[in-house]
Amino acid sequence: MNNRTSSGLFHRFIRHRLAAFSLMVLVLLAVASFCAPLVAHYLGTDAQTVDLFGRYAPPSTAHPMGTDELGRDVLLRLLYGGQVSLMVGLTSAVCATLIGTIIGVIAGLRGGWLDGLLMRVTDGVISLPLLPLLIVMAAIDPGKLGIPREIVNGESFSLYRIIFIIALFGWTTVARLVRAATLAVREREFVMAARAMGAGPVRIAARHILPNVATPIIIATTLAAGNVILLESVLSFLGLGIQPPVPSWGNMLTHAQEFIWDAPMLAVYPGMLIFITVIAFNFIGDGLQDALDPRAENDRISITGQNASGPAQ
Amino acid sequence: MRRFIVTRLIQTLVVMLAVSFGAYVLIGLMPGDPIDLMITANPAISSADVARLKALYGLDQPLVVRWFYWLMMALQGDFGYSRLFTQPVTDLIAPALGNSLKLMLASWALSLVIAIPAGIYAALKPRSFRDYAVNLSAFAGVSIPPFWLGLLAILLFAVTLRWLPAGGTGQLDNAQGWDALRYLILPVATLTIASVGSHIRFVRGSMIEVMRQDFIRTARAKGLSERAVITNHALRNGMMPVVTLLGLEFGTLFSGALITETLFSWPGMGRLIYNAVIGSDYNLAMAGLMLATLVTLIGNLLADLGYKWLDPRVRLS
Repeated sequence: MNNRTSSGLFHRFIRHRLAAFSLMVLVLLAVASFCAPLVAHYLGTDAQTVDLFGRYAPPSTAHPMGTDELGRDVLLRLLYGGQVSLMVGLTSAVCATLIGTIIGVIAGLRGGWLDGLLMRVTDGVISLPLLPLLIVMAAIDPGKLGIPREIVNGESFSLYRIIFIIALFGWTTVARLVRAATLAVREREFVMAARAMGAGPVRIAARHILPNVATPIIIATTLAAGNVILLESVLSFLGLGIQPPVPSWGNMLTHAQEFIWDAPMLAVYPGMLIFITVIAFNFIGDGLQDALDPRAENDRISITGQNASGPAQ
Repeated sequence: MRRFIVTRLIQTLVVMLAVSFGAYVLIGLMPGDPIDLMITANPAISSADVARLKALYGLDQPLVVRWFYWLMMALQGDFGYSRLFTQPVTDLIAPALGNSLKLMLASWALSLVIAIPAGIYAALKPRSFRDYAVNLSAFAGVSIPPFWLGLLAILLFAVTLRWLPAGGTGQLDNAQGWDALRYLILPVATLTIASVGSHIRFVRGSMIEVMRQDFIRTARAKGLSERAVITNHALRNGMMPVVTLLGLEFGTLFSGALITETLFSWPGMGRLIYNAVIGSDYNLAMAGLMLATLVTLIGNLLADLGYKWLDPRVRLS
């Protein structure tokens, strides 16, 4: 028994430390990324300046992390890439959560055939091979949809496009979560009271349902952010995500395989940053789950089994 | 049971139809169309010829009609001709699917062989040091970008140590036996690490859930040894949700295979779809996408059936 308690404490201690540490790492990464213009000013160059005579340069005072296959400064590209990856990750996760929340609330509140339809669609989307479909979506020509050429060819268009595509497929987990939570709250007295007082469905959803399902939504968004950053990096790596010359951690690795013999470290840095960011988001999500929603452990298959005291031992 | 199978089959069909239409629309939106490509190839072509060609290929028809026509041909096993490889699509897909399944099944089996013992091992002593260690590795596995992992593997085992080939299948060198297997090691390892993390977490969660149940307490109370409690009571029940996971993960496995195959030049379905999309090969992309969806959906269906077969309490409606 004693042994058990102490090992539990050990686990708790480590895990919350881990979440806090992850948050610190993420904040540091974000601050560093958004300080990129300052660094560029200090170094007297920018992330786009090509120097074909200085390709694969080793680290120096002018280029603290060396240069890439076009002689561009690696440190600056990593920092600007961080801006892009973090921004795309957070925005897509929030958009996906928004879609999922709306669908989940509608399905849970309305019930009936609409609920059935929405949940079948959710099942259908979950069961699809995600990446092959995302690749096709990323390869279409938006000009054919009537979007003006000057927007399509704009530098930041690939950013919006990837956010849109990921949000379009990423809402399913949240929709299921929110629907389940809505169903649990729907028949509670305060909702019935509100209904009796003549509140419409929108008001009920906004005032009574959403505040009660906020916790799982926050956790799901955090975990989704990590996944989305991973997905963005995969698509960018395949050349279908963020388009050069805008750097992202994923597209910095697109040609890594070709120059892996000349400059192996160029293949290591961006991936390391993706890995650190994604695992940090996962640790934070896990920590949040512990802190905000310990009850959920009982009716959900848990990631960490924090509440696994039960009848064991 | 029969009713369940019929319902699920109809559902699968509906999803297939919806995906085929969606994919057809999307692929129609890819840059250029077949006639544009012909115009690029032959600048002397006149606009009258273009109109005639469009009529010949049915490109002047509305989208829904074209899709219906594609569907009718596909149902007869005719997926058209690949523009990139100048071969019938079906001839390309059969060997690619074989290669993909080889890769996917090997890493799927390997992942389970690792995940089931590791998950159970961690779950039997929740919150202990070993649980923490297993969890941390699972988190790392879930968070690592698979293509980067593959790159690192190439860097270490192919570039630095020169132990293993950096890609390909060795079929061109006529590699046999161990020589052929060496080509499988890096792609399979990469794909396995990419999927084992979520498997471990799932097995562990499921086992912890079961160990908390009343019947485990009852089994302990009647004096069974811990080993008997675990093997006879916990494992059977704890492994049932794992069956569902196995099916659901097929889609994820396909996504992983796409990355691994592209990275290691493994001539499978994922790489074929990727090349088709990059090279505007509409027929090939369409057929590849449909096959990937079909394989995934069949995986889900089999998992549901397996779940039902293992656990009669599950009411499947």
